[in-house]
Amino acid sequence: MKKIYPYTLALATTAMLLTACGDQEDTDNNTANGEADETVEESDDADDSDSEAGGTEKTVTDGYGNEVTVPSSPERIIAPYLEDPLLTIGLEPIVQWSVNNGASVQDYLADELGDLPYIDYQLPLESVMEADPDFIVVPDEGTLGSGDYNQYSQMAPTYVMDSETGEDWRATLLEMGSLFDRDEEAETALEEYDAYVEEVKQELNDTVGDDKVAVVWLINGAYFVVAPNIASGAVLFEDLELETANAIAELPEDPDHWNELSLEAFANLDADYLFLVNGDEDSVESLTTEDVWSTIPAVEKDQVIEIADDSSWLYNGYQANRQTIEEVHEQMISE
Amino acid sequence: MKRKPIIVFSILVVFIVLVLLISLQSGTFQMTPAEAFKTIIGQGSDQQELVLFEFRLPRMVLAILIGAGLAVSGAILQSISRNDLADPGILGINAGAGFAVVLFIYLFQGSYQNLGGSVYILPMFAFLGALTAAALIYSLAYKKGITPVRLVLVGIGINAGFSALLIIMQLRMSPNDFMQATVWLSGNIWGANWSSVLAILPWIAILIPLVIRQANTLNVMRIGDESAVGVGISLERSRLLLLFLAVALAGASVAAGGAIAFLGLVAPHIARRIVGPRHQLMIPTAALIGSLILLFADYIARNMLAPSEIPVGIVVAIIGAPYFLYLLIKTP
Repeated sequence: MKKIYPYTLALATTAMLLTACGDQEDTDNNTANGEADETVEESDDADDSDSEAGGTEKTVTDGYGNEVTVPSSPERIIAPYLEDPLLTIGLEPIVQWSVNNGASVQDYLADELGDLPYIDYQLPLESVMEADPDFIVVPDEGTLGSGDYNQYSQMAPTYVMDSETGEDWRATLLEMGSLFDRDEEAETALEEYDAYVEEVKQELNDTVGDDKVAVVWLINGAYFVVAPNIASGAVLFEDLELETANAIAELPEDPDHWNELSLEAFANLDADYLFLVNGDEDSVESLTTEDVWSTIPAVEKDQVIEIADDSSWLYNGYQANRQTIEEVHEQMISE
Repeated sequence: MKRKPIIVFSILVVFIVLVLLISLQSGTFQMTPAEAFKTIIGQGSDQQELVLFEFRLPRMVLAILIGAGLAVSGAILQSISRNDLADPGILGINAGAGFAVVLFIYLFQGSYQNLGGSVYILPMFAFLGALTAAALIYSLAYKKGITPVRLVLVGIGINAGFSALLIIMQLRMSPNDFMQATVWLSGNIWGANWSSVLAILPWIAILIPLVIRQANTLNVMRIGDESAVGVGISLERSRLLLLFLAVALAGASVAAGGAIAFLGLVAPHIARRIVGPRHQLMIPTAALIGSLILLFADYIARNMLAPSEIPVGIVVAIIGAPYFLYLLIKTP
């Protein structure tokens, strides 16, 4: 699961400090995800872990060179912002990542995480202590936001991924798999994902062909085009190989994750399909009442698809990507 | 309304201990006062000991040290500039130190948490930044000597300049680092541990006594340059030395706690009201008041929105800003 700047998000939400900073947040998500659990079923994991990993604890070196002792079958795992891969390999955390005490959570995982207690994105030391974990794993050291490594590792063995791995959801999933001796689950999930991508790609080829696609996230009165290498952008353009609309194709080599789009750019936008991730109603309203709106090909063809802001479209991960593809499938093919 | 110094000191120390104890036993991790007490005398569980001695205590000690450092720094600046509005935050010295710290982190690609050994280098770096800012202010404000008003005005300009540089630097950072830097710059002592305490302790413990030794010079300076010259004080040299001490204190404090504004302004004022302007008493009183305010502000910062925390600098600013406005209005 790719990390989409929880801090940025967090602060923007909490303090509204950041509205102007361009790269921005990502809140949102979720869809009731009915099927991601084919491969994965959290309910059976407790027993699983006992039977499979029932051996002894092992010592591994994390992304920052710390020697970490992984318990033989950790049962009280804190994996903030790694809930997606953790669920995918069939484990369940004891708390879920959140901003502002639940104001923002990874909604797209709501079905699985549901009413798990929140842990603040800054991982306050005492909240961690209160949760009483037996293992902590985080996607990068920035996630250990309220103390230094030693303070966390005194509470429970703490594994920090190197941030490069943390930003690549496949690598993250595999690393989580090997960490918890569930390599097989991780690999199966990836294979299954690739097969699913292949299948949907074929169908899209037949129905959508070379039509151009753009994903735009509307929030706080600003419009952000989702880069082709992140979140739903990566799913649509890298995995499903849809054609990028000009606003995306023209992004610089190493684009920001979210790129603000001017109204002028909308006037030239050549998207035949336009996905609008609805950050808030006002922003949608303001865009759709602009004059340029009706000039967009997708609008003329009535191929504008609104995505709820609690969906998976702003996240990366096995669960997130699957949900995104399902939605693409439903919106672009099934109808 | 001067009071007996011994009584003032005792009362302040009692308050500090009181806030410390209250603060020690409150937090997300529940602990009754009895449990906290048991832990303090060595009868607590491992968890309780960890929370108390590794999580809570270091940050409180850090708050006490930073509070004292900034307060004394402000006291010096107010006296040598004979301007009650001077404080390391307003003069841009904190911004200079903050800039240096952010530059350091940017250049060495460290994260804000796990800086490792650099925790000890950071105060040096912050000090250099603070020194640069101070040198700029001093030289720009110098016109056959320094007039207090020029010093403050130039300081405000330098402050704006460094803040702008900081923003440029931050915009070049990755968004994660950007956020971290923003939070850090608004002043916070999260993630305090014993090594951050050790990193700043020598600065405070050595510099504050040095300042108190200069109390007489400060007394004379506060009255006016003419009288200082009159009693044979080598004016510019003493002023430079004191400025240097103020800058060092501010730099070390900023390295440990970010740019906490207004503390250096408010604490000396309150101190003067309680014990009068004589620096022999005023400096230690200001240090104690600074510690008390920051300790209390940290208590609020930790508990108001628990389990999230607000940067302690913001709490201080909420208290300090109105006082600053009040002073501005009252100042002729």
